[in-house]
Amino acid sequence: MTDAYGTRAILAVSGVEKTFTMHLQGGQRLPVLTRLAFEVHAGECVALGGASGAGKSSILKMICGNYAVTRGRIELHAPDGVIDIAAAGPRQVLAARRHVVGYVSQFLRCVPRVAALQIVAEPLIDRGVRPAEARDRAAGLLTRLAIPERLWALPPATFSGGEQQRVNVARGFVTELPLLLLDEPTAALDVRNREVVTELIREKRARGGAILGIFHDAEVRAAVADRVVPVEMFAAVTGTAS
Amino acid sequence: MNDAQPLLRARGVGHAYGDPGVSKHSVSKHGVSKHGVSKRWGCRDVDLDLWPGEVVAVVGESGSGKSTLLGALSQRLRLTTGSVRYRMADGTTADLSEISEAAVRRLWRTEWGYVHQDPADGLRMHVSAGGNVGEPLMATGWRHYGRIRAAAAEWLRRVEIPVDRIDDAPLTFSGGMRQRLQIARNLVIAPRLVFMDEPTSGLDVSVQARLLDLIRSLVAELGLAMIIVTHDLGVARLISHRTLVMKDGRVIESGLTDRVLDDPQAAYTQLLVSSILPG
Repeated sequence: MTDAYGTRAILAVSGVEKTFTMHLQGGQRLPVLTRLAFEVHAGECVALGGASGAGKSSILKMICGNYAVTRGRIELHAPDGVIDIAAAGPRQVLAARRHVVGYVSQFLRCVPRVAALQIVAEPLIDRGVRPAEARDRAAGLLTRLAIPERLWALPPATFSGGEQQRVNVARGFVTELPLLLLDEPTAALDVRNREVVTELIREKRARGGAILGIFHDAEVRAAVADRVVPVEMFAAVTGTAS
Repeated sequence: MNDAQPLLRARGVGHAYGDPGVSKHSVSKHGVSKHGVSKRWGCRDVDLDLWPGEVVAVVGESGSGKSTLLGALSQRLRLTTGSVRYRMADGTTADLSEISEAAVRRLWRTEWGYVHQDPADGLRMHVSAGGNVGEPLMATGWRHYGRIRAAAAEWLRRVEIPVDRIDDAPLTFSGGMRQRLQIARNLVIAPRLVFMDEPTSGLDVSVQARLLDLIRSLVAELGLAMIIVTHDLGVARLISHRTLVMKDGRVIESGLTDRVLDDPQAAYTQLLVSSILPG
C-alpha cells in the first residue's frame, strides 16, 4: 500500500467499533467507539487526540491485541503479509507483537525479582540477540534516559514513577519494531527526560519506524506528531466528548 | 513456536467421576451409565491445541474442573469422552488413549514432567536431594555415578538450592526448596511438555514470587511447552501465553492471557478479574 507521498501504510484501521458489555452491571452495554478509521504510515508519528474517556487508550490496546475488537478491521502490514488483528488468533497476535507492533503502556507492570536492565534487554533476547549484546543496548538506552547505573541491577518495583516510566520507554524502544504505540510516554517525566523521549521518537521515525501515541503534553505533541486523529469524531455516544 | 504442528491436540475431552470404567460406551449421554451408577462430569467438551514452547494456564475456582482437565490431558485420569493426540519426539503422532501403558510410562520417563501442588507427592521425601534429581536420569539409562551427581548438582544450582544440601533429604527442606527440588526432578530429563498443578499455592507470598520467576525463566530458556493449573490470575498473567477459564467443568472463555484478563468477555471471567484485590 503506497500513497501519493510514496510512504507505506503500516497500520490501517477501518470501521472499528468498541463496545464493553458489563455483565456485573446487569449486562449494561457501554459503546465507546464507532466507525473508527485512520492510517499510520512508515516514518510518521500520529497522535490520538481527545478528552480523557474518549477511548484513546482503548484504541492502542485494540491495535496490540490486548482488547477485543467488537467490529471492523485493524490491519498491520508486516514484511511478509497483512495481519488483521481484529480477527487474529492468539498465536498470530503474539507473532505480530514479536515482529510488527510494540506497546509502551502508561505504567510499567513490574515482575518480581527481575532487574531493570534485564527488563529492557529481555525483548531483544527473546528475539535471538545474544544476551551480552542485548544488555549493552539496554544499558545504552537506560543511560540516555538517565537511569543511574546503581539501579540497573534492581527490580523497578521500588523505583519512582518517573524512573519506572523511563524503564518502560527503554523497553519499548529497544526492539526497533515497525510500529510503536505510546500511551502518555512523558506523563511523569521532567523537562530533560521529555526531551530525550522526543529525540528517541525522532530517531525512530528517521529510520522509517511509525509511531502512534497519546501525548497529553501539548508541547511534546507539537514537537513529535505530524497530525492528530480526533478520537471524539468516532465517539459512539454523541454529546459526551467535550 | 514456529512449528507447523501442535504438540498436543485435545478434542471433546471429558472425564466423568463415577464412571464404572468398562468402556467409554458404557456412559450414556444422559449422565447415567448402563450400570445405573450416577456420575458427575469433572470436565467436559474441552478442545485445546498446545504448541511447542507455549505456556497455557487453566484458571478457575476450586471445583471448576481444572485439575480434572489436567489429569485427563496427561492420562493420569482416563478419558470418558474425546481424544488427545500427542506428537512425539520422533515426529509421529499418537492417540494417547490408544497407546499401551508401557508407552505412556516411557513418555513420563523421557518427554513429560508433572509438578504436583504438594512436593511430597512428586518427591521421594526420604531420599537425598541429589538422588531425587539423579533418579530420573538413571531411569533413562544414565549409569555413570559421577556424571549423574554432577548433573544433579548443576540442577540444584539452577533451582537455587545450595549444592552443599545435595546429600540432605527433602524432608529437611522448607516448602519453597521442596517445590524447587520437584521442578529440578522434572526438568532434569529435558522434557518437551510439563504439567503443573497449582505449583505455588502452598507457599508464602515471597517464596511464590521467587518460584514463579524461576519457572518463568526456565520455561523460556528450555523452550518447554507447559499446561499450568492455577486459581491465581496473577500467576497466569506472569507466565502464560494463553489462558483457559473454567467453570462447572467447561471452558467458558479462552484466548491470549492479557486479553482474557484485561478485556474479559464472559460474565464469570469478569467476576473473577474484578475479584482480584488491588496489590
